Amino acid sequence: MRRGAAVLLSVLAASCGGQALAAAAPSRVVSIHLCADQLVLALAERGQIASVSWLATDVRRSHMAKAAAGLRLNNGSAEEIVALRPDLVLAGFRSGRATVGALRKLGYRVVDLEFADNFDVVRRQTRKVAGLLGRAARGEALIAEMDSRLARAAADVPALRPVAAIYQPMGFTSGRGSLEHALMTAAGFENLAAQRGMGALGHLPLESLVMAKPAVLINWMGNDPAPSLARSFYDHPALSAGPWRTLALPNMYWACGAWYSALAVEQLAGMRRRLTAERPK
Amino acid sequence: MSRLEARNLHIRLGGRAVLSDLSFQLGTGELAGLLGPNASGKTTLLRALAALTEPERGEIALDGARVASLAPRDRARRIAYLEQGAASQWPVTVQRLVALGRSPHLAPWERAGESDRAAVADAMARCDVGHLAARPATELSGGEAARVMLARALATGAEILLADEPVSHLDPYHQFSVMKVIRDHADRGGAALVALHDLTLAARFCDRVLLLHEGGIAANGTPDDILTPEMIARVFSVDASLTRQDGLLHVVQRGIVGRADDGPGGGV
Amino acid sequence: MTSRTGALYGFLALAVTGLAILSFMTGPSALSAGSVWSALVAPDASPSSIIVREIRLPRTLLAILVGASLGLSGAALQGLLRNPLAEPGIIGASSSAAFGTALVFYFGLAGSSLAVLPAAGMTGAMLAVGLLFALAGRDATPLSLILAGVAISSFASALTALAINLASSAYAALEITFWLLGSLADRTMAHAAIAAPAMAAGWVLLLSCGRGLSSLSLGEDTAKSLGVSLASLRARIVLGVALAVGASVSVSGAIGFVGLIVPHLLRPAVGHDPGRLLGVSMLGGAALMLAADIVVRLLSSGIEIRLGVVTALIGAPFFLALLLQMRRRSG
Repeated sequence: MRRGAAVLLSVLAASCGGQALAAAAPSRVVSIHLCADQLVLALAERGQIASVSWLATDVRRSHMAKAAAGLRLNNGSAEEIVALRPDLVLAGFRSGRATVGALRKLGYRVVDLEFADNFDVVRRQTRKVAGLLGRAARGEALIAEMDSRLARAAADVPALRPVAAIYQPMGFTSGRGSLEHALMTAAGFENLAAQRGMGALGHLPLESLVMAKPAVLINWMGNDPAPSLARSFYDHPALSAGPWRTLALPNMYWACGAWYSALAVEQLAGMRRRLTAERPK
Repeated sequence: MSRLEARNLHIRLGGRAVLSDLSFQLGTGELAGLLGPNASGKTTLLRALAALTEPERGEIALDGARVASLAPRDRARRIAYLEQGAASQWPVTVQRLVALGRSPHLAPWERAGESDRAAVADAMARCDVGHLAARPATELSGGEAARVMLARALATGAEILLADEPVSHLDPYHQFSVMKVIRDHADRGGAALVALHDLTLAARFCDRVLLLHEGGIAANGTPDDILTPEMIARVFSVDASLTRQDGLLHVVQRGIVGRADDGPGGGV
Repeated sequence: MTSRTGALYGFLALAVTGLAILSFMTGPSALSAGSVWSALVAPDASPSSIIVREIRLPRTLLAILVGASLGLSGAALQGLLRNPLAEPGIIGASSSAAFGTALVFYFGLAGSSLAVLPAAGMTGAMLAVGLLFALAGRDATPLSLILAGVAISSFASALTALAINLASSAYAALEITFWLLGSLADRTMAHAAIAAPAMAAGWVLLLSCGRGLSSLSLGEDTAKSLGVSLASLRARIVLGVALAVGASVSVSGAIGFVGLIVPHLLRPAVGHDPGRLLGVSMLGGAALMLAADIVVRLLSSGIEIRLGVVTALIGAPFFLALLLQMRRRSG
């Protein structure tokens, strides 16, 4: 009976130009952004999902790639989305503002997700989207899993944290305020870029890196084997001659901050433990 | 003693037959003038003799050996070619330009030696351009340029000189002085075939004259024998009167004679 | 060689040496001359040793090799085409070499071998020069030369962009400025090693053309009559430029204008003789490339300015000035 009322209400809502009432769970959710895709695929019932973005099936960037198989993919254009008759559109911080604006003008409900560059935002966003989808319990479960992984990773952080640096081609690094910084500190590392006062996007010349001698270099080439100057850059003798270890993480952990970022923290923590074990007492 | 011989030459340019069944000889000590109307094939003939184009049929031999089969540097040491309107792309000094004439004698990485420098100096002295040695080649007057280019050709030390209209744009003084140098070259044992427009000049300096007309040699002999009013009218369509003064032949144009097929001339 | 040319070589060699020393001393880490020296003669595993041997040494070496190749190629092309505006960048050889290399690189056609890249660059450069002759002809006027060069260069750059866009790596699209504008940043000794043999072969071919080019300045007919084989000269220059420029671009990207500026500046010093211009253009090119690369490192705080940007900032106005000068003279 309550379900029938909910259906009636959502039909009324749809006929009023798509204005969703707070109580009704959306049944045609469209996500036009990779990071929103992850939350939708993890939290929603499959029947609620009308479409996810074309990046959702890219195994390099999408954690939930397998779950996205068989779903309708969209390119994020307003035309496509309108044809899908969504009752909720989830967009991200890089979605075209023109598209979002057009959809809103047409009366569609578009919710923007901000980029999650630390775990507080991850928790907040997971809860928000879970709430929008009417799947609050599922949201809490994800967060609980994430928190227990993070707690395990942080359990044995030594007083003297080893120094790590994100090192991208052309010398890009990530300092305070970046997602990488959150991951590294959660795993028990000191971030070289943050030590030097750099913000979210910093630059460190190769020479300076060689001089700084961090214990670990982290990059995002973990699953991009195709040739590129970026890939060859990591063969540079100055990088292989250094006393540091290198950890190549899959690109997906850089693309979005989400509950599964805890998996990256686990890998980082594992590296940190190996280093601490080898340290001369 | 060198002999340059052309036998039954047929030369085509761009599909058109320019010269047909042409034969003649040139020997040392001879200064031969190559005369003929515009587009009669003078340049084509000279270029073929210098092995710059290939004849369709026929042979060109230097002392019996086919000119086309000589090694390029060997040929360059024996035949010098002075092209029409020769000019330098870059403002090199005259000294340097004339010295280019010695390149057939130098191996690829070899530097110029005493004999080369002497040959250059000699050529420049003969052409009276010694005082221009340091001048950039692009800053020469018409007469100076003509003499410098001739010096370059003479510096090669080649016996045979093929010159394409070396005096056509020069004033009477320079016309005379350039022809004098070429005459001198022949007198010293060289041979020269010079394309000319000025009939009087040809008569003055040449031992022999070849008249080109309609793809062939209309006449081949001494100026006195060849340059008659009838021949000039036939080949040049010009009504000329010839007078002899101080033992020299003067050709004076009185008017033009209508051509059988009047029309714009061909390309060469 | 006259004593004047000898003095010029001496001066240029000194300039290259001085600039090379400066190049070793330039970088984000302040290294003393002493530590640079000991890193070169008595290397160890210290950071300064690594920096000098693996970062500054290949960079300095490549600046010399690439600069020499570009300077020499520019001088050779100007001599062959009898045109002071010719140079590998303007005629499209550099962009084509970049396309060839990028195509082979991003589509994994090289297997995992770096050594194939110079060959790819060479092929691209050779196609461009061949196409240039077909479009502009042998007696190219400045106008037809520039037009043909612009056509080839634009097409090659567009193809490079297309190839990069279609590449499978996610990083490829960000790397286009390397190919189109060039850089010596973070190049390795391996890069120098794969490019050097092809460059050296190109240098030998081009330097052998000295006398032929001097004779060619009097026109094709006169050159032939002086015993120059035009076909051989043309082939040596096309092949030599393809080797030198192709190998350079394959490791440094397309850097323009060096081959235009250097021969132009040095020409008066060698009496405008195209043959004598070849050798000094190598040293001049090396000096210019070293200087530009030092400027790049001094000016960049953060991401490095592309080397091709610096050479274009000097070169493009230079090119315009040359054009105006030529118009004034012929007009």
